[in-house]
Amino acid sequence: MTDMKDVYLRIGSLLYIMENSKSKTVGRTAAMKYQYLLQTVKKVHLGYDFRLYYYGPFSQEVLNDIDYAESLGVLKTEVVYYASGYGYKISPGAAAQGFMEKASEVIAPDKDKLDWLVGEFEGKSAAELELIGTAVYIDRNAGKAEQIISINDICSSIKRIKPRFDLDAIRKTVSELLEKKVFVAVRNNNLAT
Amino acid sequence: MLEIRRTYEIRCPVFGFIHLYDWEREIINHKYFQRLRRIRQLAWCDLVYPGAMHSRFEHSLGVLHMATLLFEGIVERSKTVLQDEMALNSTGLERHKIIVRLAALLHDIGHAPFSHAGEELFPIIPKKSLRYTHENYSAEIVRQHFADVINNNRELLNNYGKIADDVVNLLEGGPQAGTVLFWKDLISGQLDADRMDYLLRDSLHAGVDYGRYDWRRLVNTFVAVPSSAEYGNLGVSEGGWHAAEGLFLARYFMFTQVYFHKTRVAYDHHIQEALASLLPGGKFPPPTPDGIIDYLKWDDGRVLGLLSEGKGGEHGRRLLERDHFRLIRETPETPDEADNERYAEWKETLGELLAFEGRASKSWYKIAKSDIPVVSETTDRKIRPLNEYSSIVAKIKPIKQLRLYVEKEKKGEANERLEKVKGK
Repeated sequence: MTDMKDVYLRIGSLLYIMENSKSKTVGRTAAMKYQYLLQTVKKVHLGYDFRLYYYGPFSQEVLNDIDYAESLGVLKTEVVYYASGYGYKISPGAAAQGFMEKASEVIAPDKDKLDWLVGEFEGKSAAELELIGTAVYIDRNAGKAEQIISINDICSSIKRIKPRFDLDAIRKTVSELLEKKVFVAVRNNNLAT
Repeated sequence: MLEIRRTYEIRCPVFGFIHLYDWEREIINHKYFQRLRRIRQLAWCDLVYPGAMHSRFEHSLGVLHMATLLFEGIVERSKTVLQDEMALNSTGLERHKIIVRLAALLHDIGHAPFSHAGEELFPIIPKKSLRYTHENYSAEIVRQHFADVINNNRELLNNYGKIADDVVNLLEGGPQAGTVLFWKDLISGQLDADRMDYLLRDSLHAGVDYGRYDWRRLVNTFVAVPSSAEYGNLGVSEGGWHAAEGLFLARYFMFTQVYFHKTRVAYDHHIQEALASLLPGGKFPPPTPDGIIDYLKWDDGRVLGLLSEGKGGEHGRRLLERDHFRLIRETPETPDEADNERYAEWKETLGELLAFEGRASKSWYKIAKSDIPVVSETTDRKIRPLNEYSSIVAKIKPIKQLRLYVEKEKKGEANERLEKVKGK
């Protein structure tokens, strides 16, 4: 793939998600976790190397691409302040339409996967997406080692990484992902410890 | 809590003295750590900057030292955040410090000969479209060859239990690391000890000043922030934002002047091609138990020996005789779509004259989006991004430069062809 074809697929995917979401924007965490889920769960060939950090799966390359798209005017980013810190709101830039005219052909084969992502995860908060990304990463890590893990196991693993997260919230997220058939290694069992 | 008293000192051209614990000295004396003395930090950069002959060995010690300074500073200044995030007491934090030091010391143990130049020759991970990285090799080498050294050390075992797996998981980003993952940004992040060391060290040995920044001020203002997936969990207090700005500028200048120097890029290509002809199957062995043993037999010395015997083909000759491919055209540092189209046209026009392409996006040292949280020193402790403080950092664009190279003898002919292209 040439560099620009990579950019069309990666940024085109984000633009498509924004176009089809209610808010027409994404946060930075959402952009990161959406790319992770597209690549890991739906096997879209984005080519990112994700590693698990304290705040979930992360690839610097995702931010580099967003930054590059901003420099081309395809995306624009504004800082949004909260009581506890700040976040980013990413939206289509002035050059987005022209970009999508070229990118739409590149993303066309993966359109149904993008629709799945929007349908299942659009509107989730940054904290929820952080949990979702971490849960999927742990699941895939177990799958790579050809292990089967229980819901209790994965909830405990997440809680060990993120002790500040409420265990009930973790269990709710894991149960939802199980229903969506996102996991490869996690199996349902009695949630009660 | 037992206080560890036995320490050793080793000299460092950047930091003066680096202090080591007993088990770290044992690790450093291991043959596979000693191998890092035979891996040059900057590959063939000495063909541009003759002093750039330093090794991964001294860099690894430097990262250990820097990671320790940052860790200790964070613990001193961010107790509340650490308590809220991880509920660790001083014993727990001491254990984390030991693990972070080991991860910092061993983070580059898996480097190929000539460092990043060899990474394109790592095999593809089975069932994925990604190549292994030196981090994968480092984690596997620690697992196979250093885990016993770490876990069998009596002082470590009696005070902290078996921690080798935690070191591996911190390096790899493994979920089993638990709260130790909090420190991953310290090993590999925007403000990591690795980058903070190599900018200073590479600048010193290359004989340039581009990589110098106020590291002491940065270390003294480093803090933990309430974790956010938007910006991570490490930042600087407001008094340190200029130092953070200086670090970012150091990265920019070192990238454009040293790491992505047009001649250095040519030699990265030549060593990759030469290595491909020297390696069985054109690739390094994978990071499997058997593959690692073969992999660790490769270092700069072995490659140089083979090149001096005339192996490595045409590229081997070019390396020995300093006869590199020449830059013929390049885009601006941040090309727009029109620049990319012009580049494609040049490339097509050159045809068979094109020797290879250099891409800034492929460089390991490429300039990344900066997002360093800055904590206000007012009572509200408001957190804002560095971009909001520094108009310079806000304006720096990502470097996506593209370059075309030809053989020296073909430069005239190549220029004649390209002169005919509209916009040249």
